[in-house]
Amino acid sequence: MIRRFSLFFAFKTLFSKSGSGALRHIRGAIIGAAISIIPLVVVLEISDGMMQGIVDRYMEISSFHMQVTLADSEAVEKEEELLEKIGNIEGVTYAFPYTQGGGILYGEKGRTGITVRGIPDTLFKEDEGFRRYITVKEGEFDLSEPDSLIISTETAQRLKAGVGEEIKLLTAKVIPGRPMLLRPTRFKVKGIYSSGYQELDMLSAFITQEYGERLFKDDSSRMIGVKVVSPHTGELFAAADEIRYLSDGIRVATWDVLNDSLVASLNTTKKFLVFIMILIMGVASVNISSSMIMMVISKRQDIALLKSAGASDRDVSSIFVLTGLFIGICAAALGTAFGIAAAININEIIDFISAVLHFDLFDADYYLEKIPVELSLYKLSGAAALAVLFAVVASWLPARRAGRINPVEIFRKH
Amino acid sequence: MMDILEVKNLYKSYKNGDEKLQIIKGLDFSLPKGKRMVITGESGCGKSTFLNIVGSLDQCDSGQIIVDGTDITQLDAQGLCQYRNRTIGFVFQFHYLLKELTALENVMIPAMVAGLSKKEASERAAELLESVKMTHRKDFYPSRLSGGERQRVAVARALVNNPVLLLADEPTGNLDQDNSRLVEKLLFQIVEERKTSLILVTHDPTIASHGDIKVKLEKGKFVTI
Repeated sequence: MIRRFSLFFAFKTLFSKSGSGALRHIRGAIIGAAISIIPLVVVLEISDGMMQGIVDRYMEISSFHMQVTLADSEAVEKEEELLEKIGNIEGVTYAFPYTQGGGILYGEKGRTGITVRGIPDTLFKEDEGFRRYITVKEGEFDLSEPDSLIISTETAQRLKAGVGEEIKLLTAKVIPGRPMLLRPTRFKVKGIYSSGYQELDMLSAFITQEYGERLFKDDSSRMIGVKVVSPHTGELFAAADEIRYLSDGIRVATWDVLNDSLVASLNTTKKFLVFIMILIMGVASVNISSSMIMMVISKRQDIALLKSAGASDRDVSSIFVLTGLFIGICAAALGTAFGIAAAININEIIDFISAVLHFDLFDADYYLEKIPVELSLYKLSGAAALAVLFAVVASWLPARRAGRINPVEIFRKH
Repeated sequence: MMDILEVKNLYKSYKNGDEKLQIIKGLDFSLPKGKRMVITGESGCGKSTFLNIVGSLDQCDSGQIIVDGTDITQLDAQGLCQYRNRTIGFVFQFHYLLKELTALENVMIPAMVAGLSKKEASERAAELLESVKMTHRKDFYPSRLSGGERQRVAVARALVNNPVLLLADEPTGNLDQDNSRLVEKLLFQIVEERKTSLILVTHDPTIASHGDIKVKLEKGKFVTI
């Protein structure tokens, strides 16, 4: 237990008005520890924001919140009825049929592999989530014409095509026992969009549901996309369970399953980054230890006097552990504050560094165009608590040494 | 009269390489309560070592030291801390005032170690500073006090927990003659008023003359002067 005396002495030692307060010994340690916390805070805030941003884009415009696959022809026949029933389930905001298949888009100046989704022309207007992540850069998101094609800016660049131009989609039809049949279909580019995440954009193009059904005729290409109010809560799984009971011939996959490799990969990257940042904090805490050792050395006479006045080893150690705690609290407060400020302004900081260095610091192909920041009080508190813990642990050894100082040796030397 | 200190067959030696230096050799003596004992002797004869042993800062090789009825050689670490805090008071040749603390706060240290509240410790410290005529300087930091003033604060600090035995190791050794006389006068006056027993180590014959018991440490034993 820390006694009032240790608290009093630690406080007086640090904040003395005599001009000889120990704060000067530990100022460097506080600054060093605070700086070491900034990367962790930034990583925690940005990685969560990045993950959320990437995953949200995938589930709003690619996998959707849920994918209902019609596993047999009987189920396909009941599609209309099924759509109505799904739409009536609590929490479901939108259910729509769509088709999905692969092909090669090619024009006069380029070609690229693509996943094409045939979606209802109402999706863009009626689904707020879809609309949120689709920024139309050129033309319109208009699928009212049967040959309409919406491509991403990335795809447009690869094909060197613009709005109004004609593009062909090469798809394959496999008939058992016969050679594969390649079929080109003409489309007209009606709109060019960006979701802000180029890796996703590179792979996605949208056509009308009608053309989609014509091109991708097999049952496995035909699906129902489902959107719910809260895709990150149990509401999603409750709705998925209800859908499963609607018919025998359907399979339901939620976004977390559909994107599990993506989520796992992002999570692993995040954990690795956090681990490295914690290591940096650990290394910085050596600085706290060094400062505390210097402080103990400079205070040997005071320690000897305190012991001659009846202070125990533990009392003396407590003074230095409290000093370590103070360093930790100050460093955590400063580091967290600067970390939050850095994270909030991360896009400006990256732009500034890129401008100064004359190259893009982050390749937009693999990162969101704008990095979203997700402030989590829980995680920030964890980072701050870790910083305090590191400081206390770092001061523990010097504090123990202080407690073991033999006063007689000090008095004799003096 | 009851003895405040009883030393029985005390031995203390130090190792100096392979050589063993026997500093105290079978010391036996007792100090009656309220008496002032002055120890003189040549430098390095073991006067400070003896005070450190009685003050429990150092350990003896063998023997018994009974202070106010308690054999301190039998006390554990916690018991020794309490003994140093409540039973004895130390005044060293150097003041050892903590430079981050004011004169008042320095005097408060032993009282706060004893568990007194800041208010109680402060009241008691103020009283002691008045006794050593330092009230007007109570809020001064040591850097702004003269050598004599610092030592007077050190005397007040040693007495703040009302110890039964005060151990003073050449308390005027670092002071000029005027300050020496002043500190000496205050020290003897306060121990007289408080009926505190005193063991004082000194080289100063004037101070030595004030002792009720005057001894010289010679070849590890006391010789009455």
